[in-house]
Amino acid sequence: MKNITKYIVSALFAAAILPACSDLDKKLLTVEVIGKNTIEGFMKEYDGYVAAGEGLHAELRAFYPIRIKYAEIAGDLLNITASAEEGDRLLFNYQMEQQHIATYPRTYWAAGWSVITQVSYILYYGEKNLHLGWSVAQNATVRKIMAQAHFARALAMFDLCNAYAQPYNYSADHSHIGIPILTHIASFDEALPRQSVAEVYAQILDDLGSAMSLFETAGKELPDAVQKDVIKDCYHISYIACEALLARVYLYMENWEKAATYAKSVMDKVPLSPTAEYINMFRTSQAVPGAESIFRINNYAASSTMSSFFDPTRSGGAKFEPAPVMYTVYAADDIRRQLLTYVPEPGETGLIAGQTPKAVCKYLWKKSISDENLQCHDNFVFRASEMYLIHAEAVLKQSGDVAAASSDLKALIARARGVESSAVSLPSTVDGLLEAVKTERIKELCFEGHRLFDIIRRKEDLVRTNNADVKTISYPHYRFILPIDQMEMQSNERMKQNEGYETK
Amino acid sequence: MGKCKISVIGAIVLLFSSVVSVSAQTSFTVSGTVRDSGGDVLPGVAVMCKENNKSVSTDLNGHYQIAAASASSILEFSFIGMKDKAVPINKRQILDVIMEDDATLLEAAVSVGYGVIQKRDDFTGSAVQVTKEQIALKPAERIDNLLVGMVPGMNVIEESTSGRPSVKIRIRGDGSLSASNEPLWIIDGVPIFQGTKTNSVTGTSATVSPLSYMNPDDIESITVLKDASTTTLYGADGSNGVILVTTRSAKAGDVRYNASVRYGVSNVDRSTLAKRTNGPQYLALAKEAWVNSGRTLETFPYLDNEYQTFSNVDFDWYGAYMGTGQTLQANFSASGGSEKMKYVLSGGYFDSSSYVKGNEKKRYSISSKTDLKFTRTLSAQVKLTADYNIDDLFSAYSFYDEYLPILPAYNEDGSYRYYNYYSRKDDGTYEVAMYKNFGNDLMEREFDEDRQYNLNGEVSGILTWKPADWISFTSHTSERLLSIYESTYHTKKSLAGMNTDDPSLSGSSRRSGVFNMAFYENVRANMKYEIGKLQANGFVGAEYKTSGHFSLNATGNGFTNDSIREISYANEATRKGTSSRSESKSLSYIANANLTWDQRYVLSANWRRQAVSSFSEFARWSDFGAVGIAWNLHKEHFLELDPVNTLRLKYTFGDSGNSRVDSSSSYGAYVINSSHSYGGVAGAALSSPANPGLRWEKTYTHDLMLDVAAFKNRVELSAEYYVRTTRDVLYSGRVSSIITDGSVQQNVGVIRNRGMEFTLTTVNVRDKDFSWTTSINGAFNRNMIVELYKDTYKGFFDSIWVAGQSKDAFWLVRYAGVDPVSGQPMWYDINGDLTYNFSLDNRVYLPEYSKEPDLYGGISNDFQWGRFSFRLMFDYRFGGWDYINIFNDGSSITDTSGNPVVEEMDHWTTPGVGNISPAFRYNYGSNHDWNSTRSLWNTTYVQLRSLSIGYRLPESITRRMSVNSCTLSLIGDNLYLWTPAQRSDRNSYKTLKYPDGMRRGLSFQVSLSF
Repeated sequence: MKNITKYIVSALFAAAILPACSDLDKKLLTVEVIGKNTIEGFMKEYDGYVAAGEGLHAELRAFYPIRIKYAEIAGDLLNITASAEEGDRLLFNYQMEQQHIATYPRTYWAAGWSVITQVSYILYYGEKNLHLGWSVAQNATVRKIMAQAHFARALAMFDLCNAYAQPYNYSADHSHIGIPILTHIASFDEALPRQSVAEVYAQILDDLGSAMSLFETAGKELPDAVQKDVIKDCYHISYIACEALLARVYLYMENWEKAATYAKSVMDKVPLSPTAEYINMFRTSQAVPGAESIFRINNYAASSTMSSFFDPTRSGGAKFEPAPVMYTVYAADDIRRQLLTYVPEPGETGLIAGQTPKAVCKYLWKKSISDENLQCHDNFVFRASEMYLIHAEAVLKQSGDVAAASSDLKALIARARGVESSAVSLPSTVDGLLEAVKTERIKELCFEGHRLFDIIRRKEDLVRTNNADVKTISYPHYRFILPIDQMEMQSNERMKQNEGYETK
Repeated sequence: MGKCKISVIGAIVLLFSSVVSVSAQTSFTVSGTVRDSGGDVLPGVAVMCKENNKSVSTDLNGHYQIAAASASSILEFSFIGMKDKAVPINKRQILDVIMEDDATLLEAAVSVGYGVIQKRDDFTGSAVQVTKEQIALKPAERIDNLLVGMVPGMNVIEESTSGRPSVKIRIRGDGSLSASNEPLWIIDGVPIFQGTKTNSVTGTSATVSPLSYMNPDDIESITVLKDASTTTLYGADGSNGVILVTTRSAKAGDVRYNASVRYGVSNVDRSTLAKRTNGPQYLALAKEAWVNSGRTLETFPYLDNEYQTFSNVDFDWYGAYMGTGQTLQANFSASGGSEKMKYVLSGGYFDSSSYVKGNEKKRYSISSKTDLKFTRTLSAQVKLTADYNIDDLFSAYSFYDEYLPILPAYNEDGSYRYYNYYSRKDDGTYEVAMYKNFGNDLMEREFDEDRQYNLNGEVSGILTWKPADWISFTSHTSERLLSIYESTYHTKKSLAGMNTDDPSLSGSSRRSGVFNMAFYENVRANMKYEIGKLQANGFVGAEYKTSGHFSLNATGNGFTNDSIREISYANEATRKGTSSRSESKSLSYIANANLTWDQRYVLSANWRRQAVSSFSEFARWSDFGAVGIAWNLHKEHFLELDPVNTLRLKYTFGDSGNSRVDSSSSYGAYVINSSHSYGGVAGAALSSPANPGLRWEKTYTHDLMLDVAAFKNRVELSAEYYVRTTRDVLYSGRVSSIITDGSVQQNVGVIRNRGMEFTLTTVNVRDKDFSWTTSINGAFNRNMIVELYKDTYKGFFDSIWVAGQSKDAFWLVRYAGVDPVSGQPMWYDINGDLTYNFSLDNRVYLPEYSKEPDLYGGISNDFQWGRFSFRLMFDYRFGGWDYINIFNDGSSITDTSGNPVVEEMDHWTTPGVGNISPAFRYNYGSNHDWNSTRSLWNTTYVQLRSLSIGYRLPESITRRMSVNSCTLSLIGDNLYLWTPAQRSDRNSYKTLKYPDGMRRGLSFQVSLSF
């Protein structure tokens, strides 16, 4: 009996001490982490990688409202209301300083870089995943996601450079200060310096080149999902989106020939949305994504700040509304006028007290949509109308091709008025048409995040007739771009502040 | 201890023993007299023969007679206050015994964990042991603040949030910047759940400290380990010090019962509340501010109007939130048994309501420990314990104490006031509108529900196999469960539950469940050997711990009526649920060895190798080691030390770690969740970038100690000097947002804490009827950032890190007082010149203003006089500064701006007259109060923590009551707080130390033993 006890006890102790002599400790210490995964563990699974690709689009969704609001609030097409928030008010009145870390100087910067950081991970692990022996279709999907990542980086860099650096044509050789270039997974102690605008644009073009070639390769293996010539899914980045971005980049670079070429290439593949679906393309976007949509953000089931920003029917009211000038630019029969006035739908109680019906309806979904997930606006990154305007401007600048430019403008105006293009009359001079392009850009692309950048790239003064305190900013001006925020300045010793925003 | 105490206890024990029936049996009868070392007879000494389980007590003349099992049996003598003594009978029929005074502070054995109990002479480390008696009469709310002022170098910081107390403990300063600075709590060998690194419980919306879940009455002793040689054994968790709690254990013999009942009341000491203006004073000030800013009184916001009057309104917000608290507690325990099986069983009930109304706690505790001896070599101890707590909480509006006195909580008819009516126009017009009375959440206290139920239990077993005298094997297994159910409901009648936009969505409910489950296993081989003059002992072992923390919660709003409350009946569209889990595991190997040569030289070594799942595979294992030496000079024959009877020098060095950091720091993580899904498809995003180089933070401690006792232990001094260096300090800081927008964990530098600690105990008087013992402890700590790896400084709100300087010194703009000509506040700029412009760029590092006190600690005095005992305890702090901002100079007079402090009434009005506050002007610079030395307060204080008077009833009465002893105690808590700058008409640290004022309590206790 005594011996048995002894054996049992010895065996128990031995069992307990056993981990010491084997690699059982690995088993003992493995913790199952759910919902959160180590980066490598996550990326090397196909499903994880695909989710990272979707997540990258969601990252753009977080970035774009900030970027759109920035270019419009600092522009001249909006009026501020009493309910506007402090950060927007500061921007509206050109009072932004580097210590305003709760608003644009920091939010724009952080959201833009967040896209670029994740691109680095997607590209790094994408390259690795291509060597894991996955199926042809899976490899093609990996390439497609990598292509989308290259595009996302190009877009984010372009948008960051426009907001934090003077325009491309600011100096003759484009050697003025741009933004840092990040194309790898950075370690924590890295301090990235700002590069010249020329280098930033070179990187943007390089990324777009990589994106297009990856799309082409992927398209060969997976022709159904990745197509060069058709927009099958305007909610995801595509080959045509790359061309559209190239058109815009070359426009900003004043490389008229290439801007026209790429714009034309897109115009050949993507039609304009017909008059009948024009309003609904904005207001019931999930049901009517729009024939001309090239790339727009999918806000399905996502909450967005844009609608509350412009909604006059919510408590608190709209924070901004269209400036008076917007009510004078359109012809009486122009359908786009409808996007400036909020008309309650049948059954709706209407505006809350104290609100005018003036509203930016491009971001207001129709209240008749009952499915909560579909109650959203899908803001545009690229649509074909912009390509027409880029093409018109580029051909006028390049060769003074009045006929081509007129045809582009007429297509847009005729669509907006619901008439034949022959019914549209336009000036016949190059200068007259350039002026018409400018006006048409306001009419067509207002509130979509173009306005401030259009003024700057044309080296114009900002002259406002809205209710801002600051009515004029003459070009060139340091306030046309944002300061680098204080937190970035403190945590990155190689960061250089924009001229004019240094600590006084 | 005084003899008078001994004789009293002796009498009680005698009485007790007379109740015990002694059965007659043929045996060997021994008799004799027991005396103390001074030759006085000792009545009531327990005499026991274990062989036949006989026990008797000595009579009033110290005489005993016992029927021992045989002439070769061993008699054991035990007596409170004396060392136990075992004497072999050796066929003697008369056996006189002399008992020695029990171990004093310096001689008592200390429990250092893992079953090791060491005599002071053999112990190289630094440990302070607090006994049951020392904490017996303290408030029994929670176990952490029992230790206030008891342990040198241990700072128990009492804070409060929304009227609920919370406690932070710092042993020897902050060693870490972003990992936890809290010590590790071990109860009966098993680490307990302490919450996150800041002690909060994840999953519930309000935290009730897990340290309030257990019954302090079950505690036998608390040992605080501070130096490396003892904390190294706790490896990855030991760097902030270790607190070992030992609960009551079973004693063999006839059943002994102990019972006590305590009832107490508490309220706020009004002199410790911040002094602010009353209604009329406020109104006058606000009007002045308004007019001084160039506005006219016609547009003044708080003009009496048809809906509301403000003049002559003076609402006491303190009074509305505070009242009289009550505490009732009852404890009972029974212990007894034979050598084969002994047990202790205890139960407790605690019911307390706080002086901040709406906070109530009930605790039902039950606990048992059973020691079983299966065979001669195999034994076990089983512990079962559970505490059931019900906490009713009321989270008051955080700034209730500052809410304007002209905005009352009630309407004239006594109903709650939900809205106020005044003008908020600032454009030269006046227009009365309705605004939420948002500082008033008294209706929440009355109508709403905020309750936590929790059950905290442990089952543990220790199995010991001792095949030989020199070796034993131990297996200690423990399973713990902590489960919390929290229900909160905001009724339609409270501002928090009311939805004014859509009344059908009024009423909001939250239900959460939190489960913390832990498993602990420790196996050891313990050895003890003696060869000649060399004594050796030690152990080797392995330890494995897992703990999982799981939570679920559901919310919903929109209820048909306020009595439904369950989420199932909430408006369907508003129902939401979430869940979370986190798990951690740890595996360690530990070893300990102690060598003593001739009781003179001691060498000890400790080692632990530990892996924690939260670190990446490459940095997972870490080694911790420590060595200690001690030299008992009083045992040296060549030294003639008289009257010094103990003189000991000790030194230890070693390292320990801190594993309470976020586990995803080193791997980086991609997270998949709904906020990243795109178009309804699952999406993932980077939640924290990888930092594979992240290393353990390690703390290296040198400790030099001196123990002296003289005059037969009547004077005892322990003094220590330590240097504690933490390398690779982890800090969660920002890096360039190009890399990541979130903050990330980095190893940023080296921090050093240096300090001194001492405890001096003197027996001032010790005679038959009267004794008086004083114990003083004190400590100071100086902190310095030795190195920052990246040479960029990090500036914070009021402090800055610079290599070579303390992180606890303030970094503020120097306030230069009021300009007597213009009434403007003035500051010194960075060059020391006066300026009217406040700028954060003028902040300077101010080594003379540090948070660290020059000296802090506690003083206790114990008196015994006949049947009376008297205990007086203070804690103190000298020096040190705290940043507490209370000024606004009228810059804002809205309902959120707060009720000005009384100092603002003494503001500048007339040129040439100096005043303590600047001119009072509305909308006139918002920087008056910021980041300047104006808001620094000297933290010197002396506080009378507790005063207790005990009276032991005479035997003539207790005999009639059929009990052995009965003690009545009257206990006062926090009776007085003194600060040097206190004035009845000004604020000082006295009025700012406790945000909710100081809780003052008075209670009465009856303790019985039978």
